[in-house]
This record gives sequence, structure tokens and C-alpha cells, in this order.
Amino acid sequence: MERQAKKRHLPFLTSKAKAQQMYALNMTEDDFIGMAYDVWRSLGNIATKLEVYYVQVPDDFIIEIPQQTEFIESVSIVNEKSVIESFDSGGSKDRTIHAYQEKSNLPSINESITHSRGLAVNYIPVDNNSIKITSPDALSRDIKIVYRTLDLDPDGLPFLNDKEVEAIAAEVAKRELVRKAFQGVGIKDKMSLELLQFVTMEATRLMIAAKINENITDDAINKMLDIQTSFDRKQFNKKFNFTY
Amino acid sequence: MTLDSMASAIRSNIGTGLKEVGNYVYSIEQIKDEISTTRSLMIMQDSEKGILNRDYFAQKITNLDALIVGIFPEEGLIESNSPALITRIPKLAMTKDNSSILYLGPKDMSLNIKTYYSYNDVKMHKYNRTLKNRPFAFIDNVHNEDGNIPVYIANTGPASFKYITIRAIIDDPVKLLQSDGYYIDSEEFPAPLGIQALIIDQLSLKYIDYYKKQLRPNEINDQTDKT
Repeated sequence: MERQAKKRHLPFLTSKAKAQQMYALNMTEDDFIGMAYDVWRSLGNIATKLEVYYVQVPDDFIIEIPQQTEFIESVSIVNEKSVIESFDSGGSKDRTIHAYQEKSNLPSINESITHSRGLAVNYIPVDNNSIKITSPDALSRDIKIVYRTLDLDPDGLPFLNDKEVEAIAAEVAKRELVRKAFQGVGIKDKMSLELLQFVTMEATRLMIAAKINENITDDAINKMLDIQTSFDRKQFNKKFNFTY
Repeated sequence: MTLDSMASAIRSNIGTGLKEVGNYVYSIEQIKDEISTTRSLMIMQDSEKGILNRDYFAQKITNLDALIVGIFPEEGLIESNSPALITRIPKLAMTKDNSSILYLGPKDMSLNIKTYYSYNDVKMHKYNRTLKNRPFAFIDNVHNEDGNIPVYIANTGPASFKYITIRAIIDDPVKLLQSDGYYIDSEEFPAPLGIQALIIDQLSLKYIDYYKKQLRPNEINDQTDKT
């Protein structure tokens, strides 16, 4: 659902500043990042951006994708000069379907670029952020890889939105308090138990809140409803992508 | 307060408390050493309460030995082929949460290197999702023959550095104060005044207590009222 949210613009360590401000958290940067990244992962908002990579399939069929990839949306052959098939995954039935259209690298307006026209190519993921093409006929042909990467800040850590910043600050404060308790620091202090209860509630609330978009537009709700109502979207021998 | 004034205050308190009995000699050097141990004790005991702010006990050491290229003490500790940079630091104060190092890294404070204190922890560094390629330091708390403890720094990459600075709570601050080559009598003792007062109190009482309990001369019970 990240598509509808405001663009994430806060650097990851904003959450550390927040935690220092609100919970007097005193951790080194590395310790914080190690813990907070796990928290961010457990939020599940893997905010990604789409990237497209055009490349010629080499002799060993192994292609290294330039950025760290989270998901691969599609791999397809694009070097058809004349015509290629297309399937509109946008969900609107009455719009002109771009079948047999001249191939263009630019996606047309209002059309999902997660679905690429052209023949799908089989692949398997291999090590080092690479994929191995398993369709033999793709050899030395141009392919288009549509994949999702994380939206990274200058530190190389993911960008956050406001709700995530709050949630990460509270959750890290909670985990640090628990860790300190296991280490035996401050266990004679009765306040720390009460603090743990307080911060656990706060962290749980903020973590749940952060999983929900900051703003869900009418269009987004429409699209969500569309997913359930379009019973005939799947066509034989066509690729089928949800574009919520 | 400086170390000397603390020692002098304790010496004077003991004298008053014992009414300067006998010709008991109080070694000022011993009192200085015990100032160190009392401070260490206070920091250790604070773990359960968590009142003290560690920053106020820190000492900054900039004149550590230059880093030399070496290997980790045990070969199986890290699988990385990158050699370790080694230097040595004074023994650290024991804290339950291993918070005695406040900063360890290059002199310009640009990189606070993650520090491990136990073999178990350092072995798991490579499984750390986000930090596995970051530099890390391993502090072996087993001291050398010279009383210092070795520091191993790994994963520093090609753009490495030659010297490190630490800000840390040193277990024996007096030894450090005296050993840095330019010790003068007016050197400040690294603890807040409140803690210094506690140290003076505790040590004075301890000396008086020990003396009264254990060094009290044997007195014959002659059935008379001594008061």
C-alpha cells in the first residue's frame, strides 16, 4: 500500500533523534541502526520504488542487477522491432487496449509499468543480487527487468514517513529497556517496570498505526475494491498482475 | 577536587576520627590507590540503580600507541581475511551493560566504532544484518603483562587510520593520571564533586572503622568503668 502514501522523505536516523528526544535513549549509532532496521522490517512497510534495467543476456545467462533488489516484478524480452503483445493490467475495461503497439521504452500514462509487454522470460535468483535466465532462447537478446529497490537516504538506509519514525523510536526504546533489564541494569528500580509497561503499550500502538497509510485516497479504495470484483481479469496465456 | 586534595582530606579526616592515636602511619600513596578502587566500586554498584551519568566519569586518551597490523588472538574468531589493527588501552571499569567505552574511533570523532567485549558477541558480528560490513572493535578484557588490555579493530577497509582516541571510564584513573607523562599535582580527579565527597566519606570511615575494630589495642578487663 505504499503507493498511495506521501513520499517518504525523513532519513532513517530521524528516528534516533526522536528516540533521544522522547525516551532519552542513549545508544551508539551502530547499535541503534542494528536494532532499528529490524524494527523497520517488522513493520512490513517495505517502501520500494520501481526501477527498470535494460540489458543484453550474456553467454553465461547470469545478470547482475545494479541496485540491491527487494522484489523482481518481471523479466521480459523487449527487442521486438515490429509489434508486441500487450495486456492492460490497469483494470479499466473500456480503455483502448494497447495491443500490437509500437514498442516504446516510455510507459504510457496511467498504465502500470510493473507489467511489461513482451515475452516473459524464466529466471531463477542466484547469489550476489543476480538472476540466471533459464529460457535458452533469450540468449543475447535485450531484456527488460522491472524490479523494486528500497528508497534509500544518503546513509544507505531506508527513508521513513512520520508514523514510522514514531513507531521505530518507541519500539527501539522498548527493546533497549528489555535488553537492559536482562543485563541486570536498573532492576532494583521499581519505576523501570512501570516504564516498561508504558513503553510497551506505546510501542504496540504506534507499530500498528505505522502499518496503516498516512492517507488512503478514494482512488486507492476503488482499486482495492476492484481487486475483488473483477472476476474476468485473468485471461488465458496472459500475465496477470494486481495493480492496487 | 584534585587527587592530592582528596587524599589530603581523607588523611586529615582519619586523623580527626582517630584523634591521632598512636604513631599510626597513613600512606598517602595507598590512600590515592584506594580512591581509585572506591570510585570503581561505586560505578559497579550503580548498575542496579542506574543513577550515575557515565559521561561525568570519562577520561579522554589521545596518546594511545599507534595501531599495528596484526591478527585476532584466535584465528577462528572472524572469517574475514582483513587483518586486525591492534593497540592497547588501560583496563576499563566494569559495568553490567558494558557501557564503559563512550567513544572509540578516529581522533576527529567521526566514527564511533561498535565495540564487543566477549568472544560470543564478536563471533556473531558477521550475521548482523546491517552492520556486518561496518568496522568493529573487540576488547579483550584479559589484561597483558603490562596491565593494559588489547583492542582489535577489524573491517576498517582500505581507508584506514593509524591512531585512535578513546573516551572511556578507566578502572584505575589515578594510574592513568600519573602515567601519562605530564602528571602534576593539580590534576583533576575524574568524578563529580558529589561523588568525590562520597569517596572521601567512605574512605575516611573505612580507615577509622578498620582501626577501631581491628587495630584496637588489647585492653585488660579490670572491672572498671572506662567512660
